[in-house]
Amino acid sequence: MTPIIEFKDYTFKYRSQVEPTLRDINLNIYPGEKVLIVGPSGSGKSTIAHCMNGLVPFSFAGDSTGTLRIKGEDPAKLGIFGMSKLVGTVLQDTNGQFIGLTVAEDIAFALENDKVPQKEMFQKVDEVANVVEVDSLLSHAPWELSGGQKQRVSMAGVMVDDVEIFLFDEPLANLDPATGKRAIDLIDKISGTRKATIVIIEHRLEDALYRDVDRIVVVGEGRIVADVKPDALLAGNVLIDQGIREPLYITALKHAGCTVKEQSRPQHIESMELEPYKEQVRKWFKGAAFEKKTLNTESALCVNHLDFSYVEGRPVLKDIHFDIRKKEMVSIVGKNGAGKSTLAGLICGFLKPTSGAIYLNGEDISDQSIKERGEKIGLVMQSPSQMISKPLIFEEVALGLSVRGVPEEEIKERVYETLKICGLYPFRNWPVSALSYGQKKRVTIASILVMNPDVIILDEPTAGQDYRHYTEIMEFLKSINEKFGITIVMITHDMHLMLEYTDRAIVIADGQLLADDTPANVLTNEVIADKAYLKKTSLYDLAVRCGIPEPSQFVERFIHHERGQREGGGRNGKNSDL
Amino acid sequence: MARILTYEEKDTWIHRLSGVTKLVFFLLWTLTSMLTYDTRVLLVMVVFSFVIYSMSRTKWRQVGSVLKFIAVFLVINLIAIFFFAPYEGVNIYGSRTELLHLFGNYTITKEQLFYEFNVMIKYFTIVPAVFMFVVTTNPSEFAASLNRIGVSYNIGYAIAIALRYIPDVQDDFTQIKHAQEARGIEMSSKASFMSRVRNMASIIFPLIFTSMDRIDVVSNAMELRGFGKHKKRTWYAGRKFTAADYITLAVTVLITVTALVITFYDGSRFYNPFL
Amino acid sequence: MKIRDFQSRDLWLRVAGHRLVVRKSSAEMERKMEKRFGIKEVVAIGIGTALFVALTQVQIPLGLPNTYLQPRMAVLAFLAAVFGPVVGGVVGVIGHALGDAFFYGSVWWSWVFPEAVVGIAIGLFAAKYAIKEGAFDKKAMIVFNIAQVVGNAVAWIVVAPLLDVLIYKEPALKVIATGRRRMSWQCAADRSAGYASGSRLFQNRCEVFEP
Repeated sequence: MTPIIEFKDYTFKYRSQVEPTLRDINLNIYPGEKVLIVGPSGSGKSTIAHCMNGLVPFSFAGDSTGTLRIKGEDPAKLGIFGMSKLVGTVLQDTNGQFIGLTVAEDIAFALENDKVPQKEMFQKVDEVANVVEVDSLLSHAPWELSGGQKQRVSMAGVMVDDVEIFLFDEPLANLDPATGKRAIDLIDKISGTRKATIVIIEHRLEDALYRDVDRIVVVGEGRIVADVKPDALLAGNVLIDQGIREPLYITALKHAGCTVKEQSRPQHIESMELEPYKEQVRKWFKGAAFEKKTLNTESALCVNHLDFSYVEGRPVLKDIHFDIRKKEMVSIVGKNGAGKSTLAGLICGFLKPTSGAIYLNGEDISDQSIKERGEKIGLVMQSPSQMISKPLIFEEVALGLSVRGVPEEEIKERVYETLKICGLYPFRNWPVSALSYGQKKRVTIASILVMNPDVIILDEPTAGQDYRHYTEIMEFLKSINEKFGITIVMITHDMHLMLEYTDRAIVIADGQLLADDTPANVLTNEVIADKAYLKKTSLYDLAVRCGIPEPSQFVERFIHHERGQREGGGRNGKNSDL
Repeated sequence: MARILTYEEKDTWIHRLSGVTKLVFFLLWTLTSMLTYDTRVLLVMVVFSFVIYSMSRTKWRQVGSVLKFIAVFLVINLIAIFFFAPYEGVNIYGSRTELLHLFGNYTITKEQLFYEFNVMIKYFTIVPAVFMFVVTTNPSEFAASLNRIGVSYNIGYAIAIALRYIPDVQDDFTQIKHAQEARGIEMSSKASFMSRVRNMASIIFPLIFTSMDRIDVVSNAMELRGFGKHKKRTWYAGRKFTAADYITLAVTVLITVTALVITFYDGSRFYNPFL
Repeated sequence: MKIRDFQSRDLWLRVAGHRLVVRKSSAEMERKMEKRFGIKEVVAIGIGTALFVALTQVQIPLGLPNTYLQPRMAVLAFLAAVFGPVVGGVVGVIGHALGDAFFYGSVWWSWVFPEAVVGIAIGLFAAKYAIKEGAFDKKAMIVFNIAQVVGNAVAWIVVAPLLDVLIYKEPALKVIATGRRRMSWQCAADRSAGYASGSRLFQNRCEVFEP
């Protein structure tokens, strides 16, 4: 069979770069295959995607050597429009990709550009809307849809074109775990019914593997470092070497001292052959250390029976009640649009509660202005570009102090000190723009930290970050939490984050407090996980299948072990890009 | 951010009209109302406006907040006219019927009151027309119909994109503003001018740069789906011109011509009851 | 993702960088550039207009009665300077007309068109602002300010009153038509000053990139 995508000794260099981003790529993908491409940020995996859909070289110019054939054609000759007939791309930014004013128009966009008569469009749109189950939403505007629905519309938008290759660029990046699962399901369905070739670019391996893939290609530093069956990949060590997170159950098996074999079919925990490992896992469980953290009793942030609604009679939050203790690291989780960000807005004073109160260090702050609260409660937005407004790092970090009229000498002192804590001191006079994404994130954290807040609230601190950057950001937050006793609250739907770095998870679903418990308990409770659009952790399945009666205990032990490893020189030199 | 007027889907004959028909109506109607000061014409137009407005089944909820704003604006303007040009009416109508002396050089005259009454009913003719155009015209259908009468689909689509992303940009603005306020940047009028400008810049720059990101993503997404491939494109939301469109256009032109003839017939734009 | 790194050197630089890349690239793109109106320009008009409209009600009072600094002017200037006169002009017209219609329920045409004149004037010299070097240097600053002063003068001293006369005729009505505006020369001066201080702030951001 001839491959539908064929890279041969392919090297590509962006015009703006000195070094090639891709080197000697040899990759064949055959019709009907479903291939997952994984790799850390900067590995070149996105560039491979851009080569496949024609963005390289048409939107991002550069020089290439070697050959690339898509269905026997040279993309450079076919042009980006010719390519769009062969390859349908679903972008990571589902909101940005949603161009039409309604669902139906967005799906029809490619047809419109192809001068398809209106009647035919109606028919085709109805047809594909059915496949991705958005047929009841056809007249909805984008702001009436959830992230998952937008993504399904994007899929429909490329399906109308009868493309033979579907390219998914980090389809899970902006979705909560349950919605992500559904997306993977839908991709599987498309691959089954359409006999299309599917290429998925993703670094969240465990979630992407929720359904079978034929092969996994691992990209590292512009080269292909592995191109194997999933079972073989999970049995090897390539993932760890490349800084990609393994599925948690694999990590747990390794902690227990097991050597995962390819024959055990480790691709899915549900169907994996666990017989050879059970004994060892149970033994590890019995022997593993476990420590119950004693909670500080002093309250830092107390939310007292809070109600909120934009329109009377339609509550967004109902009777939210929790108490975050000093020095805690807490996650607020729940499905997209459950009211998490609204809660942050209420705490920071952007919104006024309908009833209830918020206490900081035991003091009611209901009457305080945004600015007054801002001195004690810092808010870090999801994207650094939403916060950074000054050209120089020093100025950016100093902003909060200088608008409060702090004397210049003191500003300098405090900013330098903060920059040292954040590892940004060497760059103090650099332009912000010269920094990497992770470093920019630090600048935004530094600009909050400099005001000596008691509590820092972070909105999705690790969204879209690969494992290395994730670890870097989280370790940094952990260090300021430990060193300075700052209470840290994170709004997230990253289950790894809540499991690995927080002691408590506050679960909100449909505007109500669903649970306030340890992450291990939350993620092993099917009812809660379902309602909050979370996903049961695979550690739970591992524990149950190994016959361990207390799966949440197993999870606790696993986390404890992990943390111990990280602290005990777990840094393998990959943790810092400074 | 303030709620703005937006299109809402309903099934009335006005909603079913083509966007271009409504645009022509809107343009001619506002033009006529700007040019004429003939009270009789204006009164007829006001009645007409309100009839059409009620036929469009527009709800108070859709336009209420904007309407309140306009009302305030109108009152301020009427007062301002009086203080800047208290005898404009006297100049226009060529007579002076004093009603009440206020102070200094300010006297209320019948002519001035009548003149300002004209200004006010001008608003009443224009505002419903604008409202109707905005709340009954499906933006995509509008882009399609603009394209049909020969406007480049690039411009039509640019307008559609603008309407699509206004809510997103407003969200961005609110979020950025909040984040900066929490850092202590205040938008209050207490601060000095330069610091107010600088504070505003700390919102505007991130907003512009976030939008630049968006331009990248959206234009890539559009390109990947073949936008600009051909000289022409079809429209999912397009609609054929119907008899109702032709009738509406004919009536609109008729009214405009009649109104302008009546207005300029005697060489003055004003109807003068004081003669 | 290396391209991201390249992009993130600075958002501003990147906007410029993209254009540069686009300009130099393949035959198809060159054909498109001949029209000088590609997808990016269409989207820039769309999103630029959205920005302009969204910022309609955001104003900084200057302390003088009826005088405000409008941040949306900065958006217009920025887009015109980056994407050229067509984008500047169209964003001016559509943005102002839609903004008026959405927020004020009426459209004052004698304000709409002058806004476009300013956008076009600034946009005409888009190539001169040394965007490709990523620096808005002194020379660019001078060119920009000459363009904006001339543009504002033409717009508010010539075009706006002309339209006022054509459409509204009566001098007193100018008060209504212009509402917040006082005399036309003063308006031009206010706006010029606004653009100038804006460009100064902007230059501050770019200075750090000078070699």
